[in-house]
Amino acid sequence: MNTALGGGQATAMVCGFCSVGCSLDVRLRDGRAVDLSPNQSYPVNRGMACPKGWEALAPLRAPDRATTPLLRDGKGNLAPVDWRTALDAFAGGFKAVQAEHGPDSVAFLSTGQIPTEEMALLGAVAKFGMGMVHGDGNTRQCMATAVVAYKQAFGFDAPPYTYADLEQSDVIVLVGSNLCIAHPVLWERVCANPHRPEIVVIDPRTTETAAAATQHLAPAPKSDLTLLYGLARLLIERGAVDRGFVDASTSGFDAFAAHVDAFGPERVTAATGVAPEALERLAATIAGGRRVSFWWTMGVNQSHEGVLVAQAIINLALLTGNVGRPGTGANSITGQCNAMGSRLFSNTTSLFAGRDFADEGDRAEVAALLGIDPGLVPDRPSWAYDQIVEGIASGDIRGLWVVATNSAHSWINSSELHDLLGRLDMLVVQDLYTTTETAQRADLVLPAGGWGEKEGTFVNSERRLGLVKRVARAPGLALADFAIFKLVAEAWGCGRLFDEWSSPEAVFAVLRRLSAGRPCDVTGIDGYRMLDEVGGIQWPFPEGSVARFGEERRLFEDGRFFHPDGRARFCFGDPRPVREATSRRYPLVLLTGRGSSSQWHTETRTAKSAVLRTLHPAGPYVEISPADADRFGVVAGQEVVVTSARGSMQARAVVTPTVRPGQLFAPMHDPQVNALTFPSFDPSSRQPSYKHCAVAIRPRRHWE
Amino acid sequence: MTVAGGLDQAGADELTPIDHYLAQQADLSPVERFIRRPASETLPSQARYHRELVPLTRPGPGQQYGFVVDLDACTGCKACVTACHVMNGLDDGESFRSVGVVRAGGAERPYQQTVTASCHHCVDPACLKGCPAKAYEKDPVTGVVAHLDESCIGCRYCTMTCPYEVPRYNPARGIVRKCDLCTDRLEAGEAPACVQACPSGAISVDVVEVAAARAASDGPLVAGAPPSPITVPATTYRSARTPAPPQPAGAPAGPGQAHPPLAVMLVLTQLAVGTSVVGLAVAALGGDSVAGPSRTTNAVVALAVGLVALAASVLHLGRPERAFRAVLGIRRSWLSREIVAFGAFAALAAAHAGSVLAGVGSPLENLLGALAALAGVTGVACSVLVYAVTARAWWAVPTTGAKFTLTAVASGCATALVVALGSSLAAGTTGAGAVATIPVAPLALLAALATGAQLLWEAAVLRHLRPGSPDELRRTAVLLTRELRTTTQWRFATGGLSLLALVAVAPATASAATAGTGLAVAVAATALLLAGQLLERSQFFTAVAPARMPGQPA
Repeated sequence: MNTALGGGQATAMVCGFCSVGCSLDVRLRDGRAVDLSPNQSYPVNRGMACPKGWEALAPLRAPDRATTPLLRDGKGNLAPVDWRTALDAFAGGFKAVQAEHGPDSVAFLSTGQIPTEEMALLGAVAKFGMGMVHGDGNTRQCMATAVVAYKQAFGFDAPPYTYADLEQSDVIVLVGSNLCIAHPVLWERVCANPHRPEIVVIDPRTTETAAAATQHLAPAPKSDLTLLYGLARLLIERGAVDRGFVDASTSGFDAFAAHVDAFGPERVTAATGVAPEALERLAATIAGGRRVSFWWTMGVNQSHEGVLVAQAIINLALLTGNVGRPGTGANSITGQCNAMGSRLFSNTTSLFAGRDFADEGDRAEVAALLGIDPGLVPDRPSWAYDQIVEGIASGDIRGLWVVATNSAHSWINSSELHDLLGRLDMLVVQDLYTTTETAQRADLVLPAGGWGEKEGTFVNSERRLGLVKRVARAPGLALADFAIFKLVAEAWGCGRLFDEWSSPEAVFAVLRRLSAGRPCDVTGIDGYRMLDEVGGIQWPFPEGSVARFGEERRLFEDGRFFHPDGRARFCFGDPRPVREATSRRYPLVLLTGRGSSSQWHTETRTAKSAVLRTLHPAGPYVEISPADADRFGVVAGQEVVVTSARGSMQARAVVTPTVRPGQLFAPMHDPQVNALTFPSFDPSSRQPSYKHCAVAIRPRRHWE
Repeated sequence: MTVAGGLDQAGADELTPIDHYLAQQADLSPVERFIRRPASETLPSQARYHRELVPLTRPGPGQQYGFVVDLDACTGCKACVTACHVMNGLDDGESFRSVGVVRAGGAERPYQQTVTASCHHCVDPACLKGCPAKAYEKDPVTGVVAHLDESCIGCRYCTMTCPYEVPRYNPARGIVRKCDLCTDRLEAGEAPACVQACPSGAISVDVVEVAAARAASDGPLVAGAPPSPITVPATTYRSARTPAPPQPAGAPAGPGQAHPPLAVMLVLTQLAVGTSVVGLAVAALGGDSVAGPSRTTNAVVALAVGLVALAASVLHLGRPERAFRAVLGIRRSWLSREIVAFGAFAALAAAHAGSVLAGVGSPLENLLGALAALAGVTGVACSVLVYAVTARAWWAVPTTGAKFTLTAVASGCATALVVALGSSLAAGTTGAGAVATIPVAPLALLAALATGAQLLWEAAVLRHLRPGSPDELRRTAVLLTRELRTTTQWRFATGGLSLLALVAVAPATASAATAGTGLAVAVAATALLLAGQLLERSQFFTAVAPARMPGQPA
């Protein structure tokens, strides 16, 4: 065992990539992280991690870390400055913009990648201290649909499940989720299921997960709503409705049944391409299952009608009574490590702990709990991400503060955003790296500490709060985002408002107070040490709860939901056509998604690990079916050009039967992909629909 | 614009807020308030998760350890690769495991499967057999094929002999490294890193029967992999659901590594040996009429070129200071034998050149020359076998043997001709007698003939562009005409021109008066010939396309 470690000590902390929330044992020498391995007793990951987790320390050691604030000088170059100069430039610049264009002309874009305490402080400083109205997070790109779907159906944004449900189901239905690649450790939990579960994957592609499933339904892209309504109709026909549960715990079933009656087999097959027998078989499987769990991820969320699709899944669980029991649930698997924290405490589109900015009572309550003037709390919710981008176009947004996200790569139809960033009077980017596509556009770069260089808590997909610790020194003058927000408050002149917010753990105490009496009540967690001792704690955990190590809890076991009447709602609507259909010029549908388990989003971090880089193809690539390869004269390995009405990308062709004819697949990790995507949004969640746009493909000409 | 506010306030600790937070950022002590355990408790012991994944007993006689991979359970998360990297403390980007993809089926029943691979701890390990430095050992009990890092000289020959590309060169260390089945962990009753880290339990270690492994080794391990009989790998890949026949997912591999020092070494050793043999033959046939200066120069040139070639091969080593180890494997490694033969050639060629210079007289001089030539020819034969034993189709004995022999003949004749013409001109004996004693036409025409034969032989591989040809050779032909097209064009251009120039040497030297022109033409022909040979030899490495384990999909 020639490991790098010798004696020394180790401490456990939650991983900073995805929402599974694995615990990693970080081994320390002189208090400093040397290497790590997955924690064996943590109730989430039980000794396992995906490649990103194993390499979680590597991105901290990258040579392109931001080590000092950078300010664009007279010649247009980003030049190093000290913190004092940077903070003066920050406050001076944004105040000047606000003085000219109003307080709401400066906005912020935040992230699901920083601890809850930091995002709460950002939301508080920006909105209560600096007078901003508009701030949103990159969580809009992954989870907004699930938030709205749950709020409307359950009365609160509350994923009901615990990971143990994956082990207790006899039927597992995965919709738009490539669990094997996107959440490998949750697939570990599926493998640990002793009930030989039927595993159903609904996905246009034969993903790794579809290949491992016992049933795979491959509907045409964005025809899933019709498919799920057709499935609901079949279940109702079969008498698979749990009348007792539906009558006692839900409302709106009859209207829903009437709605789905219009989704007969012919209509469903015509829209989805799925054979009636396959749907019949699935209906029989669900009807025959005793513990059926439904799971969804980005294939559902990133859609022009994602909220309805997510609610169609919720409806299946409600009508079959598969909620609140072991191995059941309508379960959204989140994306980022702290998307769930952001949903509760980022103070962006909703006020702290799931409250409403537009509600005077909520504003007064928060102001009282924080001891601030209620007039400081904005009386309208923030614009969503896409509306902030539109605001730049319309001239309403003049200053933008981007924290720990790489909008210039990740935002849909990125060419437009590239143009818009140039119109800002002031763009501040706070990040680990100076090299992100967004940081390169900034007027001011603030060097941030990363995961492992700061303290705080993350909330994972199953509502488990876990701890992040400081085990590495940030390079140069880089500071934890928490410290940067505190310094910004001082520079702005509003530091006194946040005296109580003196440390991450002090903020955690504030958040506990804000959560009291809410569905996400965590007043029973007395501090970080408690989280550390019991392997994380799932919300709710009100005062007086008893923590047991490794406990797993699910919601709604009493059949009571968070709506005032205690009933869950059947929510539904009519399928809508996609915004950009294929055409003679652009005859193919481009699907996007994760390329491999070793890549994370825009790869600002994962690309820093040499071993992670060996785990995926080196350059951009696009997958094409053998039939379309023949049709468009493309051979395997050839350089091709993919074009949409908005842009083009060059990539290597991968010819594979796992992609259906008429479709292409490109991983989202290459920045060129979003030059192609079409900016359509779910009307109620405002989440972008990354997984459907019309494109053409051709071999690259030799002069290109 | 200055800001009113708190940036200048000194806190209770008398620091401004900026200094306070910078100091806090550098302080790693807060972690001490959390639970810490001895690091030794965090590793090993995933025991409860992998108890069934390692054998309870050590292998008995006729048995050894082997990896067992359940393909149906492998979902492509690749944690095995990173766990190997982290738990074994490997260098940046280094791991002893890799993951590839195979695909099958059409739109109706598409199929794809990731394939995790590491060292197969073969029953007949080709790495071990080929290693000139005895840097490999196969454990007699466990069957683990271990690489002894401190014995490795960095010659990279094992990266060619192993059909699975398992030993990987580590440039920073100047040696190759590979998997040892985490022997230390196994000895301590623990599972190897990759086995511990697999969330779906797809990798395990089992005791395998050597005889059964031999019997089972008629096909490849997985789709597209090299034929198992080459080394009899001990790994078992299991799958109940793989449809036949899956194909590796990726586009075929591009050109291989060029290995310039090896190309130089091969061409120059063959030139040196050829020159030496031709010089000897000319002397024997021409008797004493061959000018003394020519014989001296020929011997010196052969020696000098041979030494340059040996220097090039030493430079190729990652750890040249350990070069002496390269002869240790002589009992089984053709590379060791090649080195010994060429070492002997250099020594004998030096003795021969010395004897010619000293004028010790014909019998001894001829004996030394003959011995040097014999050692040299043996060396070239060893060179052929060095590559032929790798079981790569394009390096088989007929192809490689013909190439190396023709290189020796063509470049030997051409060089001997230049030496003879040059030294007789330099000696000022431009009289009809001196030049006339040189067999210009036979040498030039033999060189031209050999070059022509070689070009034809090389072009013949292009016949495999036809569908239905063996995969490896077809891929070589495709590489030569597509990815390596420019080099191929240059190779044939230089070869063709050298052939023309060689044909022109004799007419140009027809009269004593034009001997200078003849020399110029001969020099040009030899330079072109040499350039062509070097290009050909670099393609010898870049266009070889062995069957390989499945790789990345793009």
